[in-house]
Amino acid sequence: MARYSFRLNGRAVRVDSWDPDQPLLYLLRNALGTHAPKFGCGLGQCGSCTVLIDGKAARSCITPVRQAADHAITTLEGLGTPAKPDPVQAAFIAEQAAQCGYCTNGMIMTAKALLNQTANPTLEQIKQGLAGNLCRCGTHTRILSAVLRAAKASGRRA
Amino acid sequence: MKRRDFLRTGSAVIVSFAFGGSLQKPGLAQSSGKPLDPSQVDSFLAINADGSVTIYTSKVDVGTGLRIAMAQMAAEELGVPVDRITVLEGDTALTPDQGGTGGSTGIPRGAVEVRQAAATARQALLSLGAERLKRPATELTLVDGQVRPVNGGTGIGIGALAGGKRLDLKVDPRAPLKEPARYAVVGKPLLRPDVPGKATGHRISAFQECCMAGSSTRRRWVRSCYP
Repeated sequence: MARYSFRLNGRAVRVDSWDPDQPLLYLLRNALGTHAPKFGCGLGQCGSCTVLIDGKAARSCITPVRQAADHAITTLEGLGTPAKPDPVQAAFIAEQAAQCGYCTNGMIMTAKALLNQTANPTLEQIKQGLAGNLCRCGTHTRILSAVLRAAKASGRRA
Repeated sequence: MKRRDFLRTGSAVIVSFAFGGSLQKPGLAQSSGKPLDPSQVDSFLAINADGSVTIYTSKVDVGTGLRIAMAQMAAEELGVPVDRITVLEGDTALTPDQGGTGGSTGIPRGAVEVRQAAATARQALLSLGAERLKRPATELTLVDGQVRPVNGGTGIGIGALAGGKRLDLKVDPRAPLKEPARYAVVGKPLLRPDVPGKATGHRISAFQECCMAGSSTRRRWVRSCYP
């Protein structure tokens, strides 16, 4: 069985997998205990499995483990905690931008990647950036407000 | 069999035992005899010795905000701060059966029944306070978890009055409700307690609790809800 090494939320991890094409998501959830990334469609079409690979948003359900090897993976758990949330997480809490919470992981991780690249996005840029993340509850307007709020908060700190 | 294989098998057996044990818990709770009959106040709420309150409802919060809304409605009638109220949802071995969750019935049925039980409890707590303070109930009020004279003076906490005991009362459909014009808690946009966990991954989502409990290694509850 092959062994894959990568960094997960800042710590070095090693996982075994029989299949180099096994989705990263399965290993994150089943072997490594990070349950924030969700299995939604399994086809990379809904965004609920989004993680950051070297700071860029990636769909972990269609990322083979061999592609993740030797990279730095960040999941929602790695951004912050309820007591000490990341600014994007804090903005989602302040705007109450979650209902059932299933898409929330992908919304925050995608927003995080967007803000990494574009610190001060327009509403239109945020809409485009999150267009591939589906929410079925109908929290969209709160999510947009949260990302705007996070961008403003980051601007104040800089 | 190799030692390592034996240990693997052994640990799997332990896991299944632990799971079996956890499934029996509701049954044990049921045998504790907590009332579940929706005509009884004790079915819907318990006043704890420390003055906190536990609300029991079969309606579940799947991200709809029911948990905080129901706590606000109970807080308003009981005169207890919202952060002293815990809402226990969904397990009908512990809660009255108010029907399943769906069709926007959480507030109009679930919380309205809890509110009437809380209003009944308020009257009972005022009567208990009247006995202890040796003053007519009409001169007393219930605020901040304390029965105290309207015109000021020493009060007594609800934990000391009725904590850990059954009220043993039928829900009174005519127990007076607070007038909406005097609401202090209902109508305030309080933050939902589930969002920080959802936004940080430190609590799994409602949807997952409902539909993926079988594959979860951390949770044992299975909730009934619409996906």
